[in-house]
Parts: sequence; C-alpha cells; structure tokens
Amino acid sequence: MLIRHQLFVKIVATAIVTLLSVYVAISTLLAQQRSVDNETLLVNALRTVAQLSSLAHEFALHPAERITEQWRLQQQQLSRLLKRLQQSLPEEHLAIVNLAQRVEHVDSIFSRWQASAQYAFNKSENQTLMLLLQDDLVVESQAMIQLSFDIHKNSIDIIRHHSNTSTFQMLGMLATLVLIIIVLSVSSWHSMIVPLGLILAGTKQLQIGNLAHLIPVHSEDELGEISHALNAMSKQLHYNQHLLESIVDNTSAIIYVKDKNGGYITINHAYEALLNTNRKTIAGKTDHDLFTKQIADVLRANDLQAMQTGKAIAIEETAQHADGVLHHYISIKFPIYDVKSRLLGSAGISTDISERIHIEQQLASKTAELLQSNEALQRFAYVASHDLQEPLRAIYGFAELLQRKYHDKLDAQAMHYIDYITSGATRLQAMIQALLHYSRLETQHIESVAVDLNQAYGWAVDNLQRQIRDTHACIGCVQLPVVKASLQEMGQLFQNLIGNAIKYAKPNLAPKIDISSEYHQGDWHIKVSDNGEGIAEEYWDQIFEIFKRLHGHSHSEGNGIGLAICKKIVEKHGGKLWLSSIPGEGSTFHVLLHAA
Amino acid sequence: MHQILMVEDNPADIELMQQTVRELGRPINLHICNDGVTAVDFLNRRGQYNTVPVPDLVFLDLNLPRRGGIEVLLMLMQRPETRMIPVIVFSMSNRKDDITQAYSLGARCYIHKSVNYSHFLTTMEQLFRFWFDYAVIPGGSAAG
Repeated sequence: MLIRHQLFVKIVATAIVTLLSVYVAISTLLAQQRSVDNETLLVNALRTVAQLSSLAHEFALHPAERITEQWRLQQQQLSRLLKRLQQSLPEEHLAIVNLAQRVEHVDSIFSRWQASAQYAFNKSENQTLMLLLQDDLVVESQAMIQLSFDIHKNSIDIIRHHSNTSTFQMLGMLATLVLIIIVLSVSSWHSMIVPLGLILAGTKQLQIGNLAHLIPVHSEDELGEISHALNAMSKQLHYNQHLLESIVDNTSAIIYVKDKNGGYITINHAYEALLNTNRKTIAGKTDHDLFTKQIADVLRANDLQAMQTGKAIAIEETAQHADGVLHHYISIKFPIYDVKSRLLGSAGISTDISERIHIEQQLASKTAELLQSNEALQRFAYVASHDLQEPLRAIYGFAELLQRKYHDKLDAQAMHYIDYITSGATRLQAMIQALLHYSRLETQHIESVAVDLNQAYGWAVDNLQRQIRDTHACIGCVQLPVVKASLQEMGQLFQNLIGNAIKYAKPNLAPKIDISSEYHQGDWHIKVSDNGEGIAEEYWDQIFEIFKRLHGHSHSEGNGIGLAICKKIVEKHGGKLWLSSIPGEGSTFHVLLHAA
Repeated sequence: MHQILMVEDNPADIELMQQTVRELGRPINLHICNDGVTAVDFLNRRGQYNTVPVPDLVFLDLNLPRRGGIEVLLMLMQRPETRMIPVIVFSMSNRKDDITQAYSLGARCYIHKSVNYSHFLTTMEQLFRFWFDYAVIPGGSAAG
C-alpha cells in the first residue's frame, strides 16, 4: 500500500477514534452532570419530604391553618420535584408514584382533619377522630420519609452505576485511542522510519563513494520507489565509474591528474606499477618529489602550458624511473575544470614510446647503412664502367691487333683462340653495359612523357635488324598506343622482349612474334607473343630475376640481365610485367603501362 | 706536325693510341702524361716541361690517379692560356653525369672509348680529319 494511502487511512482512523473519544467524553461529562442534578433533585425531594413530615408532626401536635398552608406549598414543590425525578429516574418510577400517593394520602388526612374541625358535632367524638388522624398522620409521614429514603438510596446507587458506566466507557475509549496510536506508530515505524533510515544510510554510502552499496528497501510504496531509483542511480554510476576505471586502469598508457600546483590527485594502475606506489601514497606529491629537478621542471612547464593554453597539447617527454632507464613518452596534457568551469588542474595521458624511439634509431642507422651501401653500389657502378672496361678494352683491342697484324704469322689454331678471346670480351662488355643499365635504372629517376610506342618499336626493330634477318623472324605489329614513359627505355624494352623471343625460338622454326595492345581502365595492356619453346609455369617469375638463366651458354647468347632490365623499366614506369606461356607452343609477355 | 697531349695512365690504352696514330699515318707528335698533376704541369710548362710545345689537342681520360680528369679540366679553364686548348675527353663511362659535367667544364668533345679496336680506329680517323683537316684551332694550322 502506498504511504499516502496508509497515511490517509491512519489519519481517518485517528480522526474517527478521536471524534468518538470526544463524543464519549462529552456524553460522560453530561451523564455526570445529570447525576449531580439528579442527586440535587433527590436531596431537595428528601428535604422537602422531611419538611412535609415535620409539618405533619407539628400539625399533629398543634393543628393550625398556617401549617396546612405551608404543607400545601411544600407539597406543590415536592410534586414538581417528583415529576422531574420520574423523568430522570425511570427505574424508581414505582417508588416515586408510591411516594406521591403517600403524599396524596397525607394531604387527604389534612383535608379530613379540616373537614372534621369544621363539622365537629361532638367534642369527644371529634377528639377521638382527631387522635386517630393524628396517629395516621404520624404513621404516614414516617412512611413517607422511609419511602423517600429508600428512593434516595436506590437512586443514588443507580446514579452511581450510571456514572461508573460512562467513566468506564470513556476509559475504554481512551484505551482504544492509545492502542490505535501505538498500532499506528508501530506501523509507521516499520513502513516509514526504518526504510527512511536505510535510505539515509544508503545516500551517505553514495556520498562517500561506495557505489556498490544497495539500499535494502523493497516495499512497494514511495520509499520503495525512492530506494529503487537510488539503487538504479548508484548502479548506473557504479557502471559508469567501473567503465571509466576499466579504461583508465587497463590501458598501458600512464594517466594522472594533478592540481594547479602540480600535486598529484590520482594516477592509474599503469603509473602505480611504474612508480611502485599507490594512488593514496602519491596524493599531494609533485613531480619534484618523484624525479630529478631537471626532469620535473620540464614536466611542470608542460603542465603549466596545458593549463595556460586551455587546450590539449601533445609533447614528447622523458622521465627516469626505478629501473634507471630514461623512458621517452608522447604525452597528451590538458587542463581540467570543475562543473562551474573553474580550473582544477591538469591531467595527462603518456604513452611510452621508448621502444619506438629505439626502433626509429635503429631504422635511422639502418637507413644510413643502406645509403652507404647504395653509395657503395653507385661507386661500384662507376668502377664497373671504368675500371672493368679498361682491361677489357686492352684484351679486346690487342686481340684484334694480333688478328690484324699477325694473321700471316699465326696458324689457324692461334687465330681460333683469338676468336674465343674477342667473343668472350664482347659478351663481357655487353654484360657490363647491361649491368650498368640495370644499376642506372635502380638509382636514376625516369622522366615520363607521352611516348608513341610505335616509335619505340621502330627503334628496337632497327637495332635488331641483323638478328631478324638471320632468323627470318616474322614480326606482326598493329598500331601501338601512346603511353606515359621514356622513349629510350621503351625502345630498350621492345628490343629486349623481341630479342628475347628471337633468341629463344624453336630450332628450325622461324620466330613469329605478334605485338598487340588493348585499353583497360586507364592502362594499356601490351602483349608480346611468340611461337617459341615456351616456359614452364614454375619459371614464370624466376626469368625476371637478374642473372637467372634457363639455358646454358651453348644454347644462346643471353646474359641473364635482359628481362631483369625489362621488369625494372616497367616497374620504374609504375607498370607491371608478367609472363604467361604454354610450354611447347610459345610465351606471351604482358606489359601494363599508364596511358598518356 | 700536330702536337697532341694524351693524359692517360693505362699503358694498354697508350699503346693502342700510339698504334692507331701509326696506322693512320698522320704527322702527329703524341706526348703522354700519366696523371693529372703532370698534365697540368705540362700544359703550364712548369718544371721539367718548361720547353714543351703548346699542344693542339688534349686527349683527357677522366679516370686518372692523383688528380682526376674533371679536376684537370677545371684547372685548365682557370687560365686563359690553357682555356683555349681544345680538350677531348676519352672515357669508358657513358654516364650522363660524366658527359654533361665534362661539356659544362669546357670539354670540346666527349668520346666513349670503344672496346672494339676497329671501331676505335674509325673513330680516331674521323676525329683527326675533323680537327686537323677541317677545323681551325689556336695552337696549330688548318690544312683544309
């Protein structure tokens, strides 16, 4: 039941009982008053009867008119009193009627007396009658007194009884009232005071931050609702707090809150672990208590900067901890305010980037090493272009001189050896040139312009004239597109691809090479297909690697660099070069280049 | 008689050049310096070279001991007396950097040393014809 309903019921009940009590009290008072009145009436009646009796006695001794008049007056008064008594004391109705009859009787005696006095024929007879009446009068008056005493006695008992009854009623009513008040108090104690105490205790727990505390009030009234709402609120707060704490305490970053003067307010688990302390111990301490002055000064300056600028700042910081190692941090520091936007202090989240710094340093040194080795490579390329070729030139040149000047002095065998020398030198020079070209592609930037591939193709075919003629190669080429590239490198690309197709043609079969192109999403896909021996799929990637040769020297004059150069050229242009082939039927080189 | 200074450290190259000159049968007096320092001395006619003639042409290798060909070029360009002598660079290098640098520093011609002797012979024949038969040069006399 709701408290307001309970209260309503209690108030109504109390009011009814109170009204009843008041009614009983008033009626008791009235009854008491009536009793007193009745008593007074009785006493008056008794006194009147006594006076009547004494008048009767007096008359019996000295009959006189004056006495009968007084009697009559008293009798009238008594009649009035008896009438009232009859009304207020119905229980004594018979006795009162009896008394009234007695009085009437006495009155008749008086009347007879008067009559006999007026009509006294005989003095002695009269005397005798008088004596008789006198005796009657005495007897009647005594009976009258007796009767009135009886009435008085009985009436007093009745009146007392009435009075007692109403007193008991009132006491009973009062007892009921007290009982109801006690019952109401106990019920209120249980339904309101106890739950209120529990709610008060619960809110005090909330105040000190014990959000896990739940108020044990489950009644279905307003207090139950209040405690339910408070419990829901503390659960929500607890959940939010737990969520926040989970984030703050489970992160590997260190988090801290400081007051305006740099004194720590709180820190998270990660920072506690790092400092080997806890948030209670650290409260109030400053960075100057934890670090060297040099480090603490910087940290403090950064805190101040965040508070002064009024927004989050990101800075790199260093700090030395118990492990003695200087840690590098990236710190986000920001001012914090209370609900009225007054500056409370600063807070920060610092992530240890020592590992990253270490890796960066390693990377820097690796980069330096790489640069060095790249420089070494370029030096090598330079050396290769000069120093490797100079002795080669001597070998080649003098072998040729021997052939020219001493051909008539040397036999056929010697001339044959000299041929070996010159062809070896030629191959070596071609290899050196290719290698130089490859290293140049590696290091140099290529200027891309709109290049007509037909022109590059023409240049390649011109350079390959001898091989084409010697092998009776048939090259079919449709109109080629314009791409973004370097003309020279494109010429080289075609020369190498076509040369390669000629070189690896099937023996005893004239090479047939087809060049086609198709446009595909901003790129040109150029295909160079041949009818050569083809290449097994496992070698499709290998053949583009430098110095990878699938055939021995005797088979062809390849130097193992041509296709590697092709791949490098295409990649330098941001394109792709790959191979597809059916062994025994031929190969297709696919070139993907950006359209101009 | 044309005076040519060949700055070259490789005896094989020197021999090949001498053979070429002989084979072409031109009246050429070939002087040899084996490094950049002596070449500069020669051209400035210092020390032991105080009596040498001013060459009509200089054949300069880039890859030299002590003082490199580029450095020699730089020094020659600093003095008016030596700046006017046509320098022809002979190099095994066909690196673009080497070529542009040589021309920027005043080389009159850049010849890539051919590995093939007969090709070299043809090149030298054309070169001599151009410089000695057609061109007019400060140090010598044109014959054309």
